[in-house]
Amino acid sequence: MDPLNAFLIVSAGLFSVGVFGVLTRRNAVAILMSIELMLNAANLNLIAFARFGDPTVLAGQVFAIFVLTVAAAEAAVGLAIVLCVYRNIRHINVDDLHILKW
Amino acid sequence: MPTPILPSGEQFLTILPELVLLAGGMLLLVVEMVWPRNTRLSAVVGIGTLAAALVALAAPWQLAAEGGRVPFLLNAADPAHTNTLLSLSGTVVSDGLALAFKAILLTGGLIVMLMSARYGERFRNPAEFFSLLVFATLASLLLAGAADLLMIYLALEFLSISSYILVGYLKFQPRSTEASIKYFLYGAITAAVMLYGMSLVYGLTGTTNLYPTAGRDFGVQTQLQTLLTSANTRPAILIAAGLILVGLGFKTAIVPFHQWVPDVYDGSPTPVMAWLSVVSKAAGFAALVRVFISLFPAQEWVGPLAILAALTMVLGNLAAIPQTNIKRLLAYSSISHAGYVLMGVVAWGQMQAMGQQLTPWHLYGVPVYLATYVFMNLGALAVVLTFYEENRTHEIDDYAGLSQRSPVLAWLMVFFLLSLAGIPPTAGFIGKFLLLGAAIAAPGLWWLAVVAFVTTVISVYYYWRVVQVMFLRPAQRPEMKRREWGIAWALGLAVFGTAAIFLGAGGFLEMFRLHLP
Amino acid sequence: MSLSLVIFLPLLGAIGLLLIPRGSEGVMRWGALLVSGITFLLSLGLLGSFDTLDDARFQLVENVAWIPQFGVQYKVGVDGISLALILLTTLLSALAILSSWSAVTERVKEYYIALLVLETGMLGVFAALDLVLFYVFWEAMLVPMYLLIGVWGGANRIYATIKFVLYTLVGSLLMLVAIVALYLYTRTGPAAATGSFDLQYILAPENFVLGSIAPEVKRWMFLAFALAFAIKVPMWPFHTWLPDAHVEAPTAGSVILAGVLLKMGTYGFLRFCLPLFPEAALWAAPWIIILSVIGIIYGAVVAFAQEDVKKLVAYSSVSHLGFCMLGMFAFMRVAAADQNLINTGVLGSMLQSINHGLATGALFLIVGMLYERRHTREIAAFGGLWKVIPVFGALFLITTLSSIGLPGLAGFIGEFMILLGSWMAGPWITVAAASGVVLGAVYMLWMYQRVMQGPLDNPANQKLRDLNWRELWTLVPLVVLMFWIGIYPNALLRLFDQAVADNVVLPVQQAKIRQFPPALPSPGGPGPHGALPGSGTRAIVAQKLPRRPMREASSLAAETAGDETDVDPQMNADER
Repeated sequence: MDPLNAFLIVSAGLFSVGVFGVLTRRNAVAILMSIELMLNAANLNLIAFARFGDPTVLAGQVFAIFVLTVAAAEAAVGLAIVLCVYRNIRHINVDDLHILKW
Repeated sequence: MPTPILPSGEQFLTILPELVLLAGGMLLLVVEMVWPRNTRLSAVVGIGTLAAALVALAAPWQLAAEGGRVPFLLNAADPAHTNTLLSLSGTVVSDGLALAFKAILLTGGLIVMLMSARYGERFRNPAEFFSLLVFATLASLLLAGAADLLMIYLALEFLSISSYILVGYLKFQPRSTEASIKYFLYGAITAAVMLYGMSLVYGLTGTTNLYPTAGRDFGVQTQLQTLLTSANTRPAILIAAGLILVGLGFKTAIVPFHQWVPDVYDGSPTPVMAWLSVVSKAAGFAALVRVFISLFPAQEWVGPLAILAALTMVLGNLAAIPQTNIKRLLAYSSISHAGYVLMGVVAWGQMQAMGQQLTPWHLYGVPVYLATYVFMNLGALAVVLTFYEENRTHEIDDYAGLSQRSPVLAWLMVFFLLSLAGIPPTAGFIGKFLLLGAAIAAPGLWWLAVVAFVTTVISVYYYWRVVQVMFLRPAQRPEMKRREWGIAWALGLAVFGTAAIFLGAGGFLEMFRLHLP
Repeated sequence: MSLSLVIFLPLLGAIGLLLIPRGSEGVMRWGALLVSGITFLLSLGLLGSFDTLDDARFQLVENVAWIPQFGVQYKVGVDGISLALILLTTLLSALAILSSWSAVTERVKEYYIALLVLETGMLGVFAALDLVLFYVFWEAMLVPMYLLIGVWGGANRIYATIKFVLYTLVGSLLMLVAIVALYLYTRTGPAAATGSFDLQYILAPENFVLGSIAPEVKRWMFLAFALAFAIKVPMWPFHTWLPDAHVEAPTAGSVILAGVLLKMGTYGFLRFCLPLFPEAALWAAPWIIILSVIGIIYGAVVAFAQEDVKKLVAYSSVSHLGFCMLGMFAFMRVAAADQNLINTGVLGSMLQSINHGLATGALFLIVGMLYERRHTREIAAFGGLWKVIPVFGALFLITTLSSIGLPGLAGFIGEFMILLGSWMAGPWITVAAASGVVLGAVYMLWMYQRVMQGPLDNPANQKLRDLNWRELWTLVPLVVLMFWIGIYPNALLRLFDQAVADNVVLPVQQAKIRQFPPALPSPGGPGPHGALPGSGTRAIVAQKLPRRPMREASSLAAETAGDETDVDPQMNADER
């Protein structure tokens, strides 16, 4: 099998796992983790494409590094928000957030 | 092989407004450290920053105009312009779309900043709030001028992360934090989906630059055009387009990516809601137009997006009818307006798909509508905020008798609501007129114009209900007295814009003329 | 005299009122009256600078670029039709302001501002020669009218206003769609690059705009325009907003509504539907005639059953406006069937529009005066009023008689000409419509009898005071005009004649030439472009009508038709 395809299949699987987690998990932190999986699936794609594409172009790797950084920032803000929610309403179950009409 | 003709120093001039915003945002953080809790000072710095950025926009505008007429949307087939309009390794573009939207975004940001001048008093660290607003506006500017997939992603995330914090800035209020976490989860998921789509585009084309730049004579745009002819790669491109639409659809709040809107708008501080509904949305549309019009094959996406536009108009307007809270009403109305703008994008795409010459309707429609929307929606929200500051309520029923309690405010609200409904003599009419014309002028989109017509009638019904309450119900509370300079200026700017775009429509359109092909 | 000055003077006055501090109501009243009075005088000045014989289609044209990118202009101008309606508007606006002297006591400032802004909107509608400008003025009236009914209206006003707003908007937005579509279809000929919203340009035959649009498209656009205007007229079955709006509106609102706003519907048909889409109008004529006749009879029958004087007058409006529509489309019907274009119906319909404005405006003023005195409009609450307030009774009687079309008063001429016009379209139409006239006489006189005559048995009616000077002055001008038009209708007909010939008859003729191209045999010998059969020596094709000598109420048709219809149908009979 073409090695690029193997990477793509793994990344597609990873992305699907992430989407599944996002849709089924009710704990905000768990959803956050699933989002990380989705981001990493994209990262895997980027790296694989860069590796098996034109080796002189580093755009894919650079992109992946940026994504990692952004993901870290996002997680920091996300966890802070989760913490705020927890302080205010003492739980982080997204199903039970209904002060605002959904 | 094309080489940039802009010297490296001048390249930074193309992002001068962004640099000004960056400096201003930093300065605000310093202000917070040196003079903590000084709302007045930090508001002045914030307003000054945005005003300065608006002035600084003249630099890229001038630079772009030097090369003669600037295309509204840069096209790789136009090498003369790719040379002059791209800068910073091809990541930033200053074509007509970017410049027009930057003007819109900065104006919106300025009005929001004026609105929140006094609002900041309730925060423990107001300057930080203002600096976040400045940074978020900076991100929206970057998004409007992004010419690289990486840049689009970074700008979008920058925009999102700043707005997550802004939405939850009333951190001891459960409503605000709840809105924030909903926004965050929705935003993070859609961004991840979009990123996956971008990785596919990168894999297919081998580059992240949208346009050919120095050192490489191909960009995403040219690559996709060759790939589209192959049956093998076409489905992959369409999947990537669909995934990217998720992220941009979230920002622009089009159906079916709109569910967060009412809750987040409702829960967030009113100036933040104003910012989200105008600036964030306009930036999203800038990216949407750039990605969809210039990258993906219009023949494929016009159909689905036309349906989404129709759904957005219908759903937004229908859902607004039963609302009893003015913020939620305006939230649904903002969804419906996204539908109208999307109609303009679709009409544009349709012309492209049919291989027809673009008419002024199509080029002017989207940016002009968003420009009018900045003034009218921010005006309406400024009235809502003024009302809230004195009465502490957003219920429409509490607006009873506003025409007697504060005639000026009531009349302003009527004016802005008329504009939102697209009834002359207001700017909204000009916007709607152009978009309706764009849909009618595009072959085969008659039905979309009819949907827009029907939903506009519906929208009049619920906007009118507010007027009804303000004018025909007796007042239950005493006259309103509070006066505040920030909001007064914001209202003044909004009224000026809404009236001036109507009266001087010809001159206003002339400002965009620079960018016509 | 500058037309724009007339249009915007009321608006300037409204801005001036804005500066008057609250509390000085007297100043506001006099200020508003002054502004509207000056506007009326200025509009009379327009009449002075208007040349009834000029065949330039539109006169006093003013033109400023507004949105050049889309060819939108601020372009105003008048022909005889719109000038007459402008005069009616300025007169009724001034009278409406005079009539609300004592009726409106709260929020006086806003009230007069709304009235003045409304006046500007109405004048703009009648003067606009650019389709977008027309739409803008058309919509700009919405808010002031809404406020007039909503704020100073009766008990059930919320329902009435929302109905009014939604009905109006449905029509007008559809019209906007049609306007844009028309623009896109005008991208031929000289305006190929952009398209045009300029009515003068579109109508000019040398530009070949109208001929190039496909018939089906024209039908759709006609329907879109027609719906907007039909709601405004209001034609049956789009009339249901009218009784609600009238009953809830304050007196001045009703006067303006009946006197001017409804005329915008008929004016719209005459100015846009007929000349722009004559083929479609020919096609739709039978249906519109049927609806008009239904409206005539329905309005009359329903008026019978009303217990509320105001509602009765409102339904009578539905009936009378049915006549206007009938006259117009009977003309189209005649035009379709016959080669000779007899414009009697159109002239009658225009006359009826003006007469209805005068008579019904006066009736609403009278009802308002009754209401101010007794705070009720129930017919049953009155009776025998003649004994207490004879002057009022006399004016009421004249107005009623004019409204039912007594010869010698204004209403007769219009109805007679319409019936004459419709006879040529089909006798059965005339019979049905004439029954509406009879019914109209019955319910109006019956109402008059129950209110003014009989025993004075209600003690509340015994101490009524008669008209004061102000009230007298609001009614007398209208009554004088009713007599004047009734005795000497030529004054108005002369104003309409050239306008109808240029802006209604000519486009219809051209449409007929388009539909039946030159091949038709012509007894008078083939003209340069294929003359109309029976048109004798004069072929009117794709050219402006030559300047014609003034004749007493001459109609183009009578002149061009040769001998067979060479009667002067409108005239002579009435004066005796």
